[in-house]
Amino acid sequence: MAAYIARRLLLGLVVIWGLTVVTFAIARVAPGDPAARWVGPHATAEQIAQARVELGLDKPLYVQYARYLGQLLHGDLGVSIRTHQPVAADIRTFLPASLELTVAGMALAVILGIPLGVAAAARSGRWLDHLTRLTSIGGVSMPTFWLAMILQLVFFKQLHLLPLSGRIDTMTPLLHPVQPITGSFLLDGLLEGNWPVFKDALAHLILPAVTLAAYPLGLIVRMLRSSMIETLGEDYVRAARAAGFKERVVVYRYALKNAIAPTLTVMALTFAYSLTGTFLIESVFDWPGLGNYAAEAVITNDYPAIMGVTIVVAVMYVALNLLVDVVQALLDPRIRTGVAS
Amino acid sequence: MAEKARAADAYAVGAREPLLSIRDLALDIAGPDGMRPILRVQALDLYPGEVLGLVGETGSGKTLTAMAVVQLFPTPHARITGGSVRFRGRELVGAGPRELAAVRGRRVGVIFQDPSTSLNPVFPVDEPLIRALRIHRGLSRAAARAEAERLLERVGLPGLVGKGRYPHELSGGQRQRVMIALALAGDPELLIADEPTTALDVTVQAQILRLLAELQRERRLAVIFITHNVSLLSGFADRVAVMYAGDVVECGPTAAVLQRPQHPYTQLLLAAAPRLGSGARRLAAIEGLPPSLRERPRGCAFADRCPRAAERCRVEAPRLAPVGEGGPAGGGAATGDGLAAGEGLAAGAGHAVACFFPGGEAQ
Repeated sequence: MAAYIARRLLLGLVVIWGLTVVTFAIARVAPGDPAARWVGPHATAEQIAQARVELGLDKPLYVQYARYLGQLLHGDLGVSIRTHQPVAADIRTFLPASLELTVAGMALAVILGIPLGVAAAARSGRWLDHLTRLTSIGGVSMPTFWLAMILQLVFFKQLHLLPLSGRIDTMTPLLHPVQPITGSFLLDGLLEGNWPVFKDALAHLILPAVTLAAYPLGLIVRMLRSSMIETLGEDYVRAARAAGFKERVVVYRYALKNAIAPTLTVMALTFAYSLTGTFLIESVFDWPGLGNYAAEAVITNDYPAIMGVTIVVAVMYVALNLLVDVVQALLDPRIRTGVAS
Repeated sequence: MAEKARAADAYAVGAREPLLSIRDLALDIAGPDGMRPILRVQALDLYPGEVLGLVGETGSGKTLTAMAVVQLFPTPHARITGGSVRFRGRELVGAGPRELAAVRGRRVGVIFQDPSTSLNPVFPVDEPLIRALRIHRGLSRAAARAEAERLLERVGLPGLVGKGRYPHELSGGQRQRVMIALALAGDPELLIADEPTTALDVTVQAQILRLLAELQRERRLAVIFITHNVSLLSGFADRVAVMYAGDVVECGPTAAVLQRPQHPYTQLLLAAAPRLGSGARRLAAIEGLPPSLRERPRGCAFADRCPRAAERCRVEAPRLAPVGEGGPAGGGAATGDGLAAGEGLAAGAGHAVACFFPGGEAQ
């Protein structure tokens, strides 16, 4: 098991390294002069040339890359050309909001998706199956911003139940000061026992989280349904029924443990994707997350920021995949011992 | 000697109430073109403590017939559409999930054909066994573990409890031993063994068969032993039922059926079984194929392949009737209409055949 994890970890490091090469190359090939942007629109040719030397852009590409990699190993992601702030600091500002939103949305999708997928498979062809099919296809195919606006219309404008946008009311942290521990208002409020902050943050989180959950929820339900239907046809499921086990035990214990693997992979993929792929949700809900930051960086050709975000997301992606690999090995002994299934 | 004594036993229990009684069982499978009739079993009885060999070629309905007791079919499209399956006097056709749950694992144990697909790959092999002992015998966790250890030791796998051993770490024979232990965990009265040795090596086959025979005697189990290998029956089965195209065409004490087969299909089936030292250069085969299930023949299902088929065989389906004594021998008019549906004297323990022209020798 330890050797298995070590092998996966090594593979993950190779992936991250490969990614730094690719993003570095793309950032340099892309049109637009970073040096000109660094000194602003009214700079002279000499100032631009000087900035080029300052930024090391006059050096050969491999020297630039080596320098970048060296900084990276010290946790230095460079300085953003757009904000003139260290990229690492920028990411520290925006990542907690993104994590908060993504974790909440994915948790919602998993908590609802697993029982729905299982139930749809167990009752395949009946009304519950058809209902989940409709809703999950809806969840996957509906444009995110459209769903977001519908939710805002209903829960903010009509029902006055939930706030329109933002992470928290401007006044709440002023009236109830909160020390940033994790950077998530929700968690910090909880950890410090600051209930007004916690409640306000939760109210702000609900609509964006529901919007974000729609797509992974549909995906999880569909994936799990099809793998469960296949598993429920296996001989060992019939044998478990013949042994007189309750249907609930047969389905949720004996079948689900076999059928969950592909869904776990999809969960990890959509989680990593959601960290920056939620640009539209962040826009509609005015959520100060990494998606907005990444989009701005791409538009302004801010290559240190692009690479910084890419690497942070890649590290999370690799970590999540490692986690999924470990969980799958825990679920299936044949993976642990390297026996082909 | 022992064989004769057991055969006599089987006759003796014939007077008692059958443990399992199947009458006019109809089972259909839903296909793209509607429901297709698969089984039309006239009659099949099983007495307590008796071993019944269920033989027939692949697709003759052996498995579906036996699994009708627990209503767990290899395909989800199978539906029982009529008839009666009485187990311990209780009707199971149309029974609810509760009644079936009271039967599965508790009264009836099942051993499947392929132990490598019947054991859950992601659970240690002792896990379902301990669960079954806890729910069926109400044992505590510790007591269930101890009992699982005893049971596994009895089937020849000592020291397997609590070792976290998974199916892929066991051999085929060991897996089937685990399945046998699981089938016996609820202390059932009936064991359905669906070709339990087909997927195993020949040497292991003999060991598993010996184990099954021992356990049957120890526990006085009634066994439905499904096989397409007639040669396995003579030492083990008290009675034999021969199936063809979804119905029982002949049944009776093993010795009678194997030595004096009455149905032409049984005769050809026995002749087709390869025997060592028979001197035959070519394996015997039955000409033709079983009838298509979509267009079941009106008359006898075997008529098209039967060397003895006459005009009557193609228009009228023969019912199971006792061999000899006023039976259908000679094509008497008493057959068929003489038997009220569901009242097959034919079933019972005696020798019965569904043929207008039984006996004689197959060509």
